[in-house]
Amino acid sequence: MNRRLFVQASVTSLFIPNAMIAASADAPVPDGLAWSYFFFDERFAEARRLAGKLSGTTEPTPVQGDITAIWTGELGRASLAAPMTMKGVTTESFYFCLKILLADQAKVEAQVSRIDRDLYFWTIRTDNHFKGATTSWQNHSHLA
Amino acid sequence: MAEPLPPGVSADRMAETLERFGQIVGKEWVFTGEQTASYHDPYPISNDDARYRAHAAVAPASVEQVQEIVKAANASGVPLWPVSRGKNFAYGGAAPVLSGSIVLDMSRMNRILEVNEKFGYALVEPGVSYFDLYNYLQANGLKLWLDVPDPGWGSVMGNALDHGVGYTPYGDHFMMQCGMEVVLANGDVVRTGMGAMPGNNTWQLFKYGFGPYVDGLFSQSNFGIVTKMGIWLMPEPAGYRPYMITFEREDDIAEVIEILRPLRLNNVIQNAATIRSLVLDAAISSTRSQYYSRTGPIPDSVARKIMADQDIGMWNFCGALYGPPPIIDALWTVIRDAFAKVPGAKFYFPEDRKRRPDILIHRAETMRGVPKLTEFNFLNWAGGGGHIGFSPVSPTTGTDALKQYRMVSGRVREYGFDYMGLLAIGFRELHHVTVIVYDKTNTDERRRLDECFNLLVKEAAAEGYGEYRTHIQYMDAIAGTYKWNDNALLKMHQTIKDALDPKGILAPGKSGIWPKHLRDGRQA
Repeated sequence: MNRRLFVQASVTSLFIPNAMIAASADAPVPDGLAWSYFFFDERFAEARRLAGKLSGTTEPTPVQGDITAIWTGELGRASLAAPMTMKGVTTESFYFCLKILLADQAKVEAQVSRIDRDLYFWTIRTDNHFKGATTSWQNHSHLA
Repeated sequence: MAEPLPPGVSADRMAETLERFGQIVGKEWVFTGEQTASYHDPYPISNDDARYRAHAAVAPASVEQVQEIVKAANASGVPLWPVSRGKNFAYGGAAPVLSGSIVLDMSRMNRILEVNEKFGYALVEPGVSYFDLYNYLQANGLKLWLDVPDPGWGSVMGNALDHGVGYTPYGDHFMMQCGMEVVLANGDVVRTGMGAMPGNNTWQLFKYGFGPYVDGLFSQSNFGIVTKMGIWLMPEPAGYRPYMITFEREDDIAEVIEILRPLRLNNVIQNAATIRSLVLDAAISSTRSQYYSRTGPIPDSVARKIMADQDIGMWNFCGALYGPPPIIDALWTVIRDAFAKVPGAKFYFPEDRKRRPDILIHRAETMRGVPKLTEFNFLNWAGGGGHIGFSPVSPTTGTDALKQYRMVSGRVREYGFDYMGLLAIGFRELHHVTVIVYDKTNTDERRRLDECFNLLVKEAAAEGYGEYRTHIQYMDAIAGTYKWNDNALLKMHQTIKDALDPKGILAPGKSGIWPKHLRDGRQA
């Protein structure tokens, strides 16, 4: 069952200092949650640098802007199964698409900061999954 | 900010209405306060945050609940803004034209009711997305192809009702619609076409039934709430060959369109193909700052650098052939020979493309109906992630295409934006979709965009070009350009509106159609 749920997002001002990014990235992870993914846009040197610096013990996942393959290949199913905390240094559309996709199946909390013209540093947490949640095609039935 | 109330509705009456909605659908499916955030326009243009804001949202799970909701809305006079999945993001998303409306979120009604492989159709509810239907076809091994627009998360029904287009031979989605079920504003349920006959078995096979054909009245309109819709699906072809032809000069578009018209009219070009501009295609895999750091449109020298780097043209024609290989071979020979007359034209198949990501590799999936989100990449071109489409329709002639291109690109560049456009090829017309990408966090860019867009609408109309679809902020402006014979069409729409929805509770302002009590001071 798809459900539209509240997306809580905060956007900080443009071009935040790296020190602030590092502080945010080092913030404690809530109990019971681990960083499920750390995405970085490998087309940008700054994203590569920040991924190396901020991903901690999470193996960073390289992307090139488009979320389609990651979502349909793995992430869509995985995010249905359990709460997740994800971080990323990506373009805005990757963050936007991920947030919208997740919000169709979970409660989403998101924070995002803009690093430069192209890149955003963000955190998304999902929670309160519905038991028995399915994608709509699984609800197939024949017309009475 | 507090969520706004619609005109003439008190806070108490709104609260009573929401209480009633909660009784109908369950309180957990009525969203208020901060919960309405996901119903805001994600790409706002207006700098007035009070515009286009829903008061609340309600999400029914059945036709019966929709009926009860509209009856309650009629009793209280609270306006509803129905959305299928609310993913129509370049056109306002789930946000209403009239602030204070209650979004009627149909995404819980997401059943695929029937897929018929023999006849090639599906019957779906509003909440079924392209991803959903594609996954269903794949999981069940059905030899049917979807036709998808660029964002795969949108509603199959919603896109067709908004006259959306895709890229296979079934690219005109409303043309491929067959049979509807509609809840009217008084709560009555109507089935159109053959669906009006009890026991019929051709509801999704024959569009017209008997008597007036009314399905079009429920597209881009506010005359009813569509709760089921048939959509024709393409049988999986025996062969498939996507291709791309690139052209080097801006002015080539005139000759290209002249060559293309007879090929499309004769179905040599089989699909709803597109000719895309340099920057639009470049933005799928790169951003502006990787090539140019100054403000203002990119200069020609930078355009040439992008062309060389990405092995694309100033214009890029992506098409595909479908059918048995001998037929594909024959059609390709005709197409190649026709476009070879354009100096500098280059011809590619996917196996010729080595760079990743690559525009043809991406489009090759879209043209066989694989739903994706790849096109959102172009929102990153200038940073800031906002976009809007300006989409006038013109005849398929080189003169019109070049004239439109010069008009629109000139204005867009004058206002400091890069031209990112595509020509979507119908049988006899072009949708010239110009995407204007802007920084949604920059109030000055939003102000410039609004000024530019209004100017584009007026200038296009002065030349006889009308938009086929638009963002909620420009629905009145666009409707105002369809004003032949003293606004006769709009007056007819208003007559229908007053007859079907006398209290004006369904989507006030949709496509410029306002109910009587909100019509004062507006055109016609």
